[in-house]
Amino acid sequence: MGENFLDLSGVACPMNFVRIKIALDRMPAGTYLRVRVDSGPTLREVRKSLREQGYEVSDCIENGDHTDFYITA
Amino acid sequence: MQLSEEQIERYSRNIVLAEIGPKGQERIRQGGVLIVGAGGLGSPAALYLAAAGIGRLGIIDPERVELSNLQRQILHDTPSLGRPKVESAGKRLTSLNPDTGLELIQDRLAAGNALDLVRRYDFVIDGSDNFAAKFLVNDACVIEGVPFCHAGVTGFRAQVLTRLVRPEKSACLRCILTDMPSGGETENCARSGVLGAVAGLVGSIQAAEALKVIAGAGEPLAGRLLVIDALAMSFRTVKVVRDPECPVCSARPKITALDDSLYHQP
Repeated sequence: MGENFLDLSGVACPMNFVRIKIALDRMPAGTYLRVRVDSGPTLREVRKSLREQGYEVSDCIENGDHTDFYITA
Repeated sequence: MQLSEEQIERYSRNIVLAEIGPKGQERIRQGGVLIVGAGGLGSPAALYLAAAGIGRLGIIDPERVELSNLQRQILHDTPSLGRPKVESAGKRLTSLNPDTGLELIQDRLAAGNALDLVRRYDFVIDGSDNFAAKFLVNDACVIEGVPFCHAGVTGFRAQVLTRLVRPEKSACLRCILTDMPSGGETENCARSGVLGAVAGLVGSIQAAEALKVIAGAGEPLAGRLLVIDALAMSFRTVKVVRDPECPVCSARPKITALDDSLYHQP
């Protein structure tokens, strides 16, 4: 796929958030991470936490049970 | 940073914090803290440091566990009565977090061993129970340039001071107390009373200070003395500045080497 993709389907908070932070920490600044989380409350919690901590979240693509979005490292 | 799956889960509540994150956790993992005294202050400090994932913990204490200790020294337990405190500490800490590297020293900190010991660590916690030892910890850390957290607790009152090595954050114990409190001030039966939970509070603050300095988070109590009155549950900070005439931390110190004669309780 040529992009960094982190599939966190079925992973609850806060472990999903922890894994996103660890993945971002390993990536060069300015690169993109595509993340997949469960739609609904999980998505809302994760997005809120990321924004609170200053991460840039964009392009949410909902696909039924899961939603993909992008974050800049 | 290569945390195992188990470590990611174990330290998840640290990593979630903006001020810690994966990088802060790695610094904690690489960090070493020396705790002087495995008693009322050292107990909670050691537990919270091990829990947080500190890489190395050194604990120095000459004593054996006694019954009256168990009122506050929560590192130890009834089965460990009579055992060396460092042995009891090792057992408990390994059980809490087997990742923790432990250096257990059944000995008293003294002029002859203090410098070698403190220089091998990134941060020192003063968990001692007498002022002679507190001054020794202070002097050794100033001479070796190792940041540390001083604390003292008696009854319901306590004080905490962190010393960093940066000039404006480096007031030390001798900047505030030029001499050891005399015997009359400290040796008094009633003075040996202390509520366990108050000691617990203070030792926990010391652990938090160590973790903050190692992880690079927040503002340590450097240049500020925290004064606690747990009866009123009041917390206030008093600004402390480096004394330009301080015998140990000034530009022209009188104390440049340790000598046991400096550390006798008058």
